[in-house]
Amino acid sequence: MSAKKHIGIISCSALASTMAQAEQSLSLHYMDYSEKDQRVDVGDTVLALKADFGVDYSLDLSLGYDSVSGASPAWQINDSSGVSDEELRLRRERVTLGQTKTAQTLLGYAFQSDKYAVQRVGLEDTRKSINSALTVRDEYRNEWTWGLSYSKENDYKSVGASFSYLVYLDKFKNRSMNFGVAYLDDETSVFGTGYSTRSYDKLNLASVEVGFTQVISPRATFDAKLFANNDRGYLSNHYLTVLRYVDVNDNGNFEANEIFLAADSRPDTRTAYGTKFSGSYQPMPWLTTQLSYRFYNDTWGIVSHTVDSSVTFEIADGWFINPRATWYQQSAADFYRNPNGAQQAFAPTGVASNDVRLGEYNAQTYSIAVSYQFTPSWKFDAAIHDYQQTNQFGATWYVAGLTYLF
Amino acid sequence: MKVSLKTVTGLVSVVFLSTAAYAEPVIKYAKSKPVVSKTKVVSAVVVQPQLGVNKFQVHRASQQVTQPITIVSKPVAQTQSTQSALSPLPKIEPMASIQPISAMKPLAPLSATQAPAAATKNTTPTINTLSTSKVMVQPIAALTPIQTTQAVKKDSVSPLGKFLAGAFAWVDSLVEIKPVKPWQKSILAEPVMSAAGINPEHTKFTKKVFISKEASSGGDGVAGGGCGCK
Repeated sequence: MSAKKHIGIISCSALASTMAQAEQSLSLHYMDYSEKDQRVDVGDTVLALKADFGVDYSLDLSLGYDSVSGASPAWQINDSSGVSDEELRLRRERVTLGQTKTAQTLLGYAFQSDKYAVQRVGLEDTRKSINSALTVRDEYRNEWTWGLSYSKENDYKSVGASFSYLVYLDKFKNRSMNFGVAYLDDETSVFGTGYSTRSYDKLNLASVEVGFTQVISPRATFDAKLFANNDRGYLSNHYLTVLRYVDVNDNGNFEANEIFLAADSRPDTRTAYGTKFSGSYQPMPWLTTQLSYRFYNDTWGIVSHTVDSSVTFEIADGWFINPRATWYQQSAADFYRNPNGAQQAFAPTGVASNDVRLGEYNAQTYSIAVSYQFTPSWKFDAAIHDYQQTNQFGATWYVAGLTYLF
Repeated sequence: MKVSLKTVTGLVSVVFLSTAAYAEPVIKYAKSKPVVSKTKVVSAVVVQPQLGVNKFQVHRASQQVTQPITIVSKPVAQTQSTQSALSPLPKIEPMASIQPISAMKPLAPLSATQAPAAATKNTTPTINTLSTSKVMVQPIAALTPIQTTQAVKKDSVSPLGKFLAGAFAWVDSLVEIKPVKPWQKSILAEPVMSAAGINPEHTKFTKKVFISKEASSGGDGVAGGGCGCK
């Protein structure tokens, strides 16, 4: 389901990116996320701890609790006008017969093709997560970081481990490289034929990243990264559906009454490569700018470009205002089809998906954040974000938090 | 002006005794080599004349050194201490007083016609002031450098860092970047200059949304956790 928020990978990514600050803190933040058109609402709470033990050890620990509720669109059979028990029995027999003609999972059947419609499917779930990262600095002040994570939902479980090594290339620590690897061992719930059974399938992710950082001047830095990901296992979305033609009467033709409701089906492997360039520059003591560009492409045919820009103003002592803008452009996956297009049903075999997240679209995100350190030990921050895709999808979220520095 | 043999002999004696007195400690050190370990400290030797003695007093008649010289000996090396503190110098027994040269009887007056055998010799004292052979001059004091318990690291860059530095040397040839010294990095250490910005938790939430609503990810640091939102 598109509302699922299995974001442990991003949690620890953010942990690793803030390691260089070496500032001890305990923070509590809350995000209130709402999709436009009253789709899905999410409440996300994160308690994070950053602690140093001497000058050689640092620990990052975060606990997260997400609550998801709402409804997400998917192909369904519209029985709002009612359906008899006899028809339901005949439908089940048709699904059983159609399943013998294809290896793809069939979930339902309607004798009238106009009964199929994209409808919102209700969902409610909670997610608990824990992420940790331990950094050890050696005699050369190079950093070794080990990470562990765990998250659990009603129908999804994730266990992950990571390791990264930061090595300095010069005695003044102006140039460094970072090598990182991560491995995830996840498990997801999967529906069987006709929604009659449910099982668990595995999926695994391996990722590597190599980064190069250069201090350009006392006020500027530059960073370049190369990354690669490889996903294997059940990569489909078990809550999403597609329509498929199945020649149940073996006459060699696809007829109107041979359309079945089927499970979303994606390739069982996905390999991605990309690069990211970013820089920070403080031209004035009260003004800091950041700019980044990321290029991504994978074996599903998706190519994307992301440009992110941020400006931070220190308007008074301890007061910061941070407007930010992100532009995103993505091409469609090879096996994606627009659910609102003319040809809606897929072939009986092969991969197929109507997930709009795999489609071609642009997206813009605008946000503004305010933070104020009202005592040497306490800081308050808040932000508002607006996200809009060209395929009609949009969302807004608010973030507020309190940080204790020690 | 004629110089009598008696006078010459007295002068030579004074010179000899003076030299012997001051050379004594040097000769002693040359014979006994100090055993020095890395943790030992050997202080300089100080030769101190005995109080009350300003100079040698030589009587022409007796040719006798009236006051002995007290020499402070080389201290015993401290084998256990790693500090630079100097141990007190032990006393050396003063050397035996120098026996006075017996008085020389005046020579019998020389006859005008007969020169004594000694007179035929060249009486002009010759002192070899330059030596043609090389003599190793032993230092008066041997100083051993203080060694710390922890070895001083020669390099601040790891072997892997040096190897990778060579691979990126072309960056310096392409772009002239002045090295930034550690004391110039106060701005770079500010939270606002970090990749996640001044509010890293906000960035974390934003990345969550992007992962959930878009079909691409990566480039934000190595993952430490799972993601099933794709």
